[in-house]
Amino acid sequence: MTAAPVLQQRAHEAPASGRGPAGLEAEHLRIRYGSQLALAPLTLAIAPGSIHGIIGPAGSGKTSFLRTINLMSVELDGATVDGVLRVDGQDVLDGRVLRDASTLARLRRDVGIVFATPQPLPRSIYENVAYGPRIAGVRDRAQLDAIVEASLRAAHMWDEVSSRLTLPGTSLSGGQQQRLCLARTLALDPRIVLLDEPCSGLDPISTARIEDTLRSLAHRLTFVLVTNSLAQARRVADVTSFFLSGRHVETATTTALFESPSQPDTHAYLTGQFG
Amino acid sequence: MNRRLRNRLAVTALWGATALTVALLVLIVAFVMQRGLPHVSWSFLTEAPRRSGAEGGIGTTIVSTLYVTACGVLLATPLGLGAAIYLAEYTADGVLARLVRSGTESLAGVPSIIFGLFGFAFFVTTLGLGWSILSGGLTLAAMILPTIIRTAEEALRAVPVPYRHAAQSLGASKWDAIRTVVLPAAAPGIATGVVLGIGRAISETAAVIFTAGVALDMPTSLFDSARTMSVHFYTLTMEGISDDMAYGTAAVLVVTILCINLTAYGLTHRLTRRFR
Repeated sequence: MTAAPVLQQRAHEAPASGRGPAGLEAEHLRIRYGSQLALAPLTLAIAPGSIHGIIGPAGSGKTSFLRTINLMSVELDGATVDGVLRVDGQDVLDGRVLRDASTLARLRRDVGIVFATPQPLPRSIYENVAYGPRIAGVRDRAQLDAIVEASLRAAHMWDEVSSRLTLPGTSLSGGQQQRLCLARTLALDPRIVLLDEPCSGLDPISTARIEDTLRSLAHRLTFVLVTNSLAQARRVADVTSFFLSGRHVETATTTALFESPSQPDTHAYLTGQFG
Repeated sequence: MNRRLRNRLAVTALWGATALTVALLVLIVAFVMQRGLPHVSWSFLTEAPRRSGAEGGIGTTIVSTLYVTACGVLLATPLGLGAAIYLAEYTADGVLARLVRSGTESLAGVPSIIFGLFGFAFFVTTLGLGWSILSGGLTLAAMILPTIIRTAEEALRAVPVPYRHAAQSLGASKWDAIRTVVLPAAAPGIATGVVLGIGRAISETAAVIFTAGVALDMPTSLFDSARTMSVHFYTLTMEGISDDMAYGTAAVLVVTILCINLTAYGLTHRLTRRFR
């Protein structure tokens, strides 16, 4: 049940890169909003095909980091960013990406994002998933149909919604809406998907469904998962980073981080002494 | 006074205000209908006025009204929508945006007769367009522009920011997001603004009497002078030509405006429910 073969045939997409998970490297990456420092210089590598968890209390800079990876923080939130941030080996901060609309669009297709609050567009279920491909220039109906089906299948919701694709996306339950948002991102055949507390408003069953989806897609995609739930990071993340007050404290394999954190702050957070 | 009593008083006062408002509206419409409807007939609607409007119908003034209003709305809508998009989407709340906004609001407060004088001085005389549908339309456009800009800007601002972010996160440019997500979502509000503009334009007298003129002939081009229904009503009454014809005209005007509003509600409703 793979979405990739269909999606890779998209005419507008150069097959040269050979889609697949991309890695991520930040070097001395610093994020500011005006004079306010959101993230102190950070150096961190995220391996292709991994699920990388980021934990930390509110104000730790984890969402700022996430929204910087696809440059939404710079374009939409007014952040100033310096340092180096390589997506698949290419620095996205060198200014050319932001200045050139088509390069920025390509970055957004390579690096998808799912927000904390499910935010379907005011359109049908079908059109929500087809939105990205349409903007990218896919016109052929059969091709769109194939992309929509493959993406909804990849998000494990095809069977639930295949009979009502024309209903508004907002008619779905909260958990379904969030999976629709994931499917909408997958429709662009991304190489990295950013998840910003994707389950914060969801019940345990919906949360489990999202986590199943992540596990089934891992290795084909790189996931960066910001979460407020320590249990969630523990359940799905291969590697976990701990952020605190705009500072990257430490990164280790999830097991190592949770069982033997090397930093006292991490230990204090994990044992519930604050946050 | 205890709280329950005060609460009851407040509710009664509010109910009274509402009832009075509705009663006033019903009274005005009923008065105009009672005086005017007996004179309205098919021939009244279709025939041209004779003897300065004392006899015949109001056919040419209906056509003139449509032309002048359509001209004004077609000019003002793209301009107003463009300005609204710029104000709502492309300006931070800086000095320029505030200046434009307060200018727009001042424009909305200018009495329509001033627009009429301006239209006469500028469009009719300086630009040499004469008393014409074009002069009237341009003047009406200037007059309803603030209404359209303000309602459209509010409608655009009411579209939740996350919609835009979601669209842009999917590879849409800012303009793509506005075009494909924000404008459709704001369409009912924008349509409401346009309809409010149509309502103002269609019933406007002072701004058109100096610009579109008072000719009773059937207009055949944009450069023909044309008398609108409201100007016709004004002339018939002020010059004591015929009260019956005046009220007949008023009745048609009022019914037209009611119909436009009903259509607008229907349209708004359909647009709201529409999911592309």
